[in-house]
Amino acid sequence: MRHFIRAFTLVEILIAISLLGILTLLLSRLFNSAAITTSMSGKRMESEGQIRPLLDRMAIDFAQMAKRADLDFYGKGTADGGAMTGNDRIAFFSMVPGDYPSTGSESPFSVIAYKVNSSLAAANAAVYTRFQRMARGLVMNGDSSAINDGPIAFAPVNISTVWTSVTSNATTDSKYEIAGPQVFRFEYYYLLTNGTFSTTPWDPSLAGHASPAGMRDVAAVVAAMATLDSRSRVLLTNPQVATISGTLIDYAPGSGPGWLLTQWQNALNTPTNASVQALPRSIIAGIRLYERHFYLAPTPQ
Amino acid sequence: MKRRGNWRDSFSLVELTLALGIAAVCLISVFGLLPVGLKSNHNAISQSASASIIAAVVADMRATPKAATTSTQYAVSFGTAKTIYFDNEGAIAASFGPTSRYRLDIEFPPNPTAGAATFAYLKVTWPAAASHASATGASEVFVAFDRN
Repeated sequence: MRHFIRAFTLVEILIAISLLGILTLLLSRLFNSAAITTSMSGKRMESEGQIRPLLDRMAIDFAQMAKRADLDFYGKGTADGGAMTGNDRIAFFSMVPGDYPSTGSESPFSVIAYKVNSSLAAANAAVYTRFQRMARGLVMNGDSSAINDGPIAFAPVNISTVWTSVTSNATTDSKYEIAGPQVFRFEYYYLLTNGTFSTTPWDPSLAGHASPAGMRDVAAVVAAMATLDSRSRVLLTNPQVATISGTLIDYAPGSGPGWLLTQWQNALNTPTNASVQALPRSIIAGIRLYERHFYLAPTPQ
Repeated sequence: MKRRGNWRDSFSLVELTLALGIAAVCLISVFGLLPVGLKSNHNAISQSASASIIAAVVADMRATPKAATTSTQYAVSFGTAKTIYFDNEGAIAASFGPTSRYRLDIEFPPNPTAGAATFAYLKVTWPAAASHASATGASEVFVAFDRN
């Protein structure tokens, strides 16, 4: 009988297996929460990693802006720019290299423009609701047949009359490139040299100031952006992204920095739109908001 | 004799204990990697976040018009040392709170040359509650502004 006693009984094995099961369950939960943490921080790192070069690029573009009274600026509050509801557009001359035509003498100037594309055409599905940048290199000796490539257009010629694609989010132009595939909402306003915030790029309280005039009254352009990481993005259709974008309100004149992001965060935390409410919270939580001051070099007096 | 051979086939207590011991050592070394991975992940996020905090504050200070002495976004007064606390999402607070994760200290080293650049020294440390000496990580930058 001795050899029977030495072997395990069925009860012992059952207890051992159930203990093992409980331990495995605990460990798998540990692994699960670790995986959730790493995937959330991975999304965050991706957002941060992609927005940083974009913000740096924009900071250079704005700092090198060509500020002269006879050079046009297209943007919110200008005669041709208007109030701009929804995603904003901006275009200006800047001393940065651009996409030059194959012939001609390259000038140091480019037309820089930003927008979030809203073209619904099937061919543009890859750029719809994505942040685009145009850097159109201008040549010194452009001719009238290819005025889009330069030379630089002096007043009274406006940027919007030569480079018409800057005036609409829905227009596509092969010179626009995706600069921020994650950025789906772009809004900006101006910090004037008198320290106030405005949607008009000049200080109307000063006598005779009624046009950008080389952005002489603007100290900085303050841009707010909303991004969605690529792993959350693939779970949404382009129209769904556009719907989320639509619930993020426009900047209200006079509001200070931080106000816009607070409004956007509130809109995401407690969505009023039924189709945004129906989206998984994990996707909404992946939306990150950024606000950055882009300094303009002071205008020489 | 045949019966004796039968019970020899089953595992002995010593064998089982050894097997369990080896399995436990393997498991412990595998699970030991988990916190190491999480910690390095956490550190990478902190480094990346501190870089964007510094970039945002410097951009704000640089954009401050000459007429103003206080920056608009983070309310940094030129010439006055300041400490700001940031949470995970980049929201700011003037004093340490339960959600604070990063601590930013701004100092203005004097520049004796009149009419020269305004210096600023920015240092982000984390965790927010720790003093500079006991912080687990830090990133810092020295910048000069033209405020003339």
